Formats: sequence, structure tokens, C-alpha cells
Amino acid sequence: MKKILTLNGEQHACTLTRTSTGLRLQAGEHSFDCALDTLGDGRYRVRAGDARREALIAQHGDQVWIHLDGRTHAIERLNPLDVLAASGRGGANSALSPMPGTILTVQVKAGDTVKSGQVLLTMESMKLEVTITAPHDGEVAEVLCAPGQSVPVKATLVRLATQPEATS
Amino acid sequence: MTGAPIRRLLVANRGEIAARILRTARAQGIECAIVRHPSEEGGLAPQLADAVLPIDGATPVAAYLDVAEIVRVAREWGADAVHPGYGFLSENARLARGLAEAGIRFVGPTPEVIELMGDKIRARNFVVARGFPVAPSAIEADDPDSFAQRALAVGLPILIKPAAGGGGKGMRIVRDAAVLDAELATARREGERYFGDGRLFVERYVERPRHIEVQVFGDSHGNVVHFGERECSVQRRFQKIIEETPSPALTPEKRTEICDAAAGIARAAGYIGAGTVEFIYGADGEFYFLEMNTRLQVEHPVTEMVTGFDLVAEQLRVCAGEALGYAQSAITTQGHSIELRICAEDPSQGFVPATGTIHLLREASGPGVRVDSGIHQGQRVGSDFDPLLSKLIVHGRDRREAIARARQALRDTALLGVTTNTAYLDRVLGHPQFAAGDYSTAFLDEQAEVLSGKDEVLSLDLLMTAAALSDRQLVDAAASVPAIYAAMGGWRN
Repeated sequence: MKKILTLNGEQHACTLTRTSTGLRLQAGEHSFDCALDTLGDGRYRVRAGDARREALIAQHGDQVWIHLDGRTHAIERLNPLDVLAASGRGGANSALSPMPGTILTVQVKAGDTVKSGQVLLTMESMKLEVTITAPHDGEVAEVLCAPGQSVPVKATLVRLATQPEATS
Repeated sequence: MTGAPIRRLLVANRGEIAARILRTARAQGIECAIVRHPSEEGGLAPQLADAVLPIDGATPVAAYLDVAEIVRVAREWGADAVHPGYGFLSENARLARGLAEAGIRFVGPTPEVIELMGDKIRARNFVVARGFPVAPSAIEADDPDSFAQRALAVGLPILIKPAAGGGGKGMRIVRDAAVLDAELATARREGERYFGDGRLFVERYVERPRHIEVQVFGDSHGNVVHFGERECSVQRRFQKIIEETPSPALTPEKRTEICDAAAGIARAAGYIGAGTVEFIYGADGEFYFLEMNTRLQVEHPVTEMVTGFDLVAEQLRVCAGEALGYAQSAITTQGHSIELRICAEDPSQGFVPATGTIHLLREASGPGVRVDSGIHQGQRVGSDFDPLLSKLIVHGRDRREAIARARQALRDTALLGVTTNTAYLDRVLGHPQFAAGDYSTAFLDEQAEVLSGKDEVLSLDLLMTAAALSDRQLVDAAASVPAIYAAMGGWRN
């Protein structure tokens, strides 16, 4: 079985197989023997090839957090089919909320022509004001939020019409 | 009203500072209550309080900012004092007055002093009139029509500030006259939004300045002392993230000069309780009064670490009418202390606030390590409040030891489920300029690339192993395939 592990925006295709002595992980072209032993209370001993380390691990759904060598890393584990489906959705034509918060002002309406980097709206989260800008030149197809509205992270706030020169 | 000990204390705050205040108050046998909005869940402070009193408001923040609501709750619970913490209503004279009218003490200075120092322009004029140094400036209210012109006459670069401001909100640096009007408009909007007051003033901006503040304390018997300085120059967008004491920038002579100036300002204002006088310190050793914060500061623990005083205990004593009871000479410092603000934010995404559930929490411990925390495992971190989760405070015999302990403590801090800035803080502490004590408020911007951590080497195999082998689905699938077939490979879907 294969899963796509995403760390810092980079995808790593990983396949786990059983061997006569334990488990073997293939990450890309590279494979190595590995083991994970629980020490209780979220603590684990991790072994990858010759490297051994203690780590703290917590998980929730597809997401796993690993504290190793004094750093915490968030890794998303997805089935390859889900990754494929997600890439088809295409966010390039939309301005998404970078964080949960409240919309302060909306400076564009459907039909407006905007330039790449132009301010579309402002929002506030935890007392910080953030401006959301157009990802590319184009026409505003739809505004999906209004001042005062609370939005979750990654919500589509403004949709731009697909660029005429864009393929696919 | 003075002279009676405090028996029932309401803490009108939340998060780490509420927990911090409750610990001291409870240790003194004071019965404690805390306020909270019904939408809030979890948190450490409610577990430490004897009572949790609901406050009403359209939003959670609005509830904490509602003077009438806090006074009502304090009166109904029978509080004889209210500690406002920092932020929210901590520098609100209307709260101090409203409580006084209800016969309840406010843990802080008099409403008159709060008003004086809360109005940045009045405060500045007060300080100038008493012979303390301030930066060249222009004030809008003096003549609004000529404001832009007078602002430029101060000499670029300038810093625009809201008259009612504080905490860096609404402040803008202007280096180019062409953008002055646009920046004034933005600052005015932010001032109106955050402080309900759009009045502005500008000050000469000192390039590569340091931000040094002095902890002062007064009692109701006319005594004023200082507890030394705190170096707060490690800032992002005017928000402090690392503070230390003593400041690596000050000579003993300069330290005496700046601390005496702070105590002098507090004395002139008839200051009662804990306060902080903030200064801009230039590379040439000149310093200017910036503002006075009439409350406990976020970074007060570093002062506690080197002086051995519990500043909250001192606040409660002074509020009960006691005299400080010690002279300036009795306040000595030992070693070095550093505070790191652990925030729910993602440094790799422009420091946007992060949310989530704390699935696993390990806080640092060890010699010279103190954690002022407001969180617990299982808690949800939302976007309703400031992103500060906890503060890591370390003490060492000298600065080098304090830095080493701070770095180890950061690496020992594990908060899984919500992205935090701990790795970023560790990189700041590891930067040679920080180690040398040679930094200004521009440090984080100037070194943004180095501090981004893009060059940090990952133990990728170990991380992939931890992620894959903790995945039940993956492990079960691998286990269900007999080893002999697995060895043959070719199992694809």
C-alpha cells in the first residue's frame, strides 16, 4: 500500500512492506528497514536504517505531528487517489483565506477587472490585519464573502475568471 | 478603602496571565474568580480559580472589553478587588472608576494616571514639562490642516502613531514623503478600529533603535522604586517576541541614568502599583521616552527571575494599601533572564495565526526554567484571541548560560497539533548577532532570510518512518501481506 506523505509542501510517495525481519519503507527511489516502538505517553523510539532517535508523535485523521531533534513537523498522509483528486480542484483562480478570521472590507465586485497583486479584500485574525491580493490578472467571477463575515482557513473568498491564455 | 487586605479577587483576563495571577493570589489564601465568555473551552486558568463567572458579549473579545459587564460580575460575586492583567481593560480608566464607584479596588494606578499615560500626546507633554527626554514630534490636534506638512518637517524617517495607541497597533514607518498621506489614512483607520480614536501624531524614527523599558513600582505612601530594565528589541511588526534583562546594550552608568529617569517620571505622576516606562535607545546612547504602560507587562517574569520579587504579590500588597517597605538599594539583581513568547502562528507562512487542537503537550523544565502557561493538552486553540499560548522564561548565572538554557528548553517544548514559533525562536537565539547582544528592533527584518530555517537539515528517513509506521492503515496493509509475497514486490493498485 502506498501513501503520499506531505512535509513542508513536498510530497513523498511511501510504500511500506513486510520483510522476513520486520518492515521496510520505500520513500521515492530509496528504501530502508524501519521500526517504531512505543514507549508510552506519546513517546516512541524510531529506527530508520542505522539511525535511531526518540520522538513524540500525535495524530488526528490524516495529519501526524512528530517532535524529533527539538523540532516539530506536521505531515499529511493521503492516499494517492485523494491527492490526485485534490490537485484537480485547482486553487489558482481563487483567493483563499490564509487563516480563520473576520472579513473587514471587500474592495472588488463581480465583473471587476483586477491586476495581479491588487488588493481584493482585508481580513482580521487575532488582531492582525491581512490583505488578500489577486493571484493573477483577470476578471472577478464571484465574491464569496462580505464584511463582518467569519471565515475558516482556506475558504474561497474571491473567484477569478480563468485566464483566457491559460491552458487546461 | 485602603488598609484592608484583599480577600476576594476577580481576575478580569484569560490565558497565561490569568493563570499567573491566580497562582500568586491563591498562595496568599485569597479567594479567586475568573471571567469567561460562554464560547470559550478549556484553558488552564479556569482550573485554578475558585469560581468561573460568565460574561456576556456579542464576541468573546467584546465581553472582555465590556466595562459595565466586568463591574456587574465583580459586584455580584462580591469581589473586593479586580486584577485586569494586561491587554483588554488593563489600561482603561473607566473600569478603574466604575469599580471605585462600586466600592471595589482596581489593581493598578489611579484613573487619572491611566488617562494621562493612555493619551500618548498628554503623556509626552507631561514628560517634556518635567525635563525628561522625548523624540522630536508633530501632533495632529495642534493644527490638523498643517499636520502632514509639520510631520515632514520633523525629518524623515518618521513614525506615525495613534494618540490612543499602544502595543504597536496602527504604527507606520514613513521613509518616503510620497506615501505619507496613504500611511496616515491607514494609521487613522487602525487607530479607530483598535482604540476607537483616530487622532495621530508622528515622531522622528530612530534608525536601528533599541527598545528598553524600566519596571517601576509605587505605593500609596509616595514611595517609588525601579526594578531595573528589560531589553525588548527583538520585535516583529512592533510586537515583542523575546525579552531579556539585563540589557546587553547598557553600561552601568547608562543603566543608572535610564532607570533613574523612569523612576523620576513615575514619581512625578504619583504612580501607584506596577508600571513600565518604555524608551527608545539610539546607537549613540541617547534615549527618548516612548510611553508608559500602566499595568503589568507580558515580560514581567524576567524581572522576577533576576530580582527574586513576585511582582503580582507586590501589586496586591500595594493595592491593599501597604507601603513597599524597602528602599531602592534593597533591590539587587542576579544573573541573566530571557523570556520567549510561544505563539500559535506559522513563521513559514508569514506568521499567520494558527489554530487547531493541542493533541500532545510537553512543557520544558529543568534548572532555571519557568513556564507561564495558559494551555493544557486537549485544548482547542481558536482565532478569537491573541496568539500567545505560553511564555518560556529562563535564568542563568550569565547571558551565555541563559541562552543555552533557553535553547534547550525550546527544543524540549513539544506542542503537537497547533503550529507554533518555537523553532523560529530557537533560530533567533542561535543567530550570532543575538549571541553577541548586537541587535536592534530591525534585527528580525534584516535577518529574515537567515531566520527562515530554509537551510535546516531534516532527518527525512526518520520522519517518514514515524509518519508511516504510526499510520494504522499502512501498517495493517503491510502486515496482511505475507512476507514471501511482499519480498517479490509488484503489489500495486
